[in-house]
Amino acid sequence: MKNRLPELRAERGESQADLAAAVEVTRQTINSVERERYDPSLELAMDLAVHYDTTVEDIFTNE
Amino acid sequence: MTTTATDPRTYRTTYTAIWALGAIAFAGLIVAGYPFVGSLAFFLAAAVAIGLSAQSEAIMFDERDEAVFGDAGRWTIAIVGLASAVVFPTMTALRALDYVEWPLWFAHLGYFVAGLFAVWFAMVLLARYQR
Repeated sequence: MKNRLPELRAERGESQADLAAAVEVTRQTINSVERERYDPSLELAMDLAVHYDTTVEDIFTNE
Repeated sequence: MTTTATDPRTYRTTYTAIWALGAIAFAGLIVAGYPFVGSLAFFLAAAVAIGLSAQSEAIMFDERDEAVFGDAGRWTIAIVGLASAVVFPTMTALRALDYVEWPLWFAHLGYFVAGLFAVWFAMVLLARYQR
C-alpha cells in the first residue's frame, strides 16, 4: 500500500526508530511499511494517523 | 547502524540465541548421555529467555512478526498437507499391493501428521468461534 510516511517523517525530522518507538512497533516494521512490503493493521494505521495528527486515508492510498 | 544494550534488535537476537542455545544444549546433552541435565539446561534457558522478555521495555516482537509467523505457519501446513496427501495414500496403495513394507518410523510419521492436523483443525474451530 502506498504511503506518505517518509514524507511525514522528514517534515518532523524523525527517524524510523523515533516513529517506531512512538507507535510501539519495531523499526523494521516501519521500514517494511514505508517500502510497501507490509500493510499495517488498522490499529497501527490509526496510531500513525493520530501521531501525525491526520487521517488514515491521508497517509495511505490503495493504488 | 550500531546496536546498543537497549536496542530492540539486541533483545531479539539475545532472546532467540538463548532459546537456540537451550535447544542445542538439550539435544547435545541427550546425545552425550545426560538427558536429565539436558532437560535442566533447556528449562534454565527457557526461564532466562522468558525473564528477559518480561523485564525488557523494548518492543521485541510486533504485529509484523505475528504476520510473518502466521505466513510461515500457513505455508508449513500447506506443504505438509500436500506432501501427506500424495505420500500416505500412495504408500498405502503400494502396501496393499505388496510392493512395499511400512517401516515403523513411517507409521510414527503418519501418527504425527494425523495428530498435527487434528490440532490444526481444533485451532481452526477455535479461531472461527472467536470471530
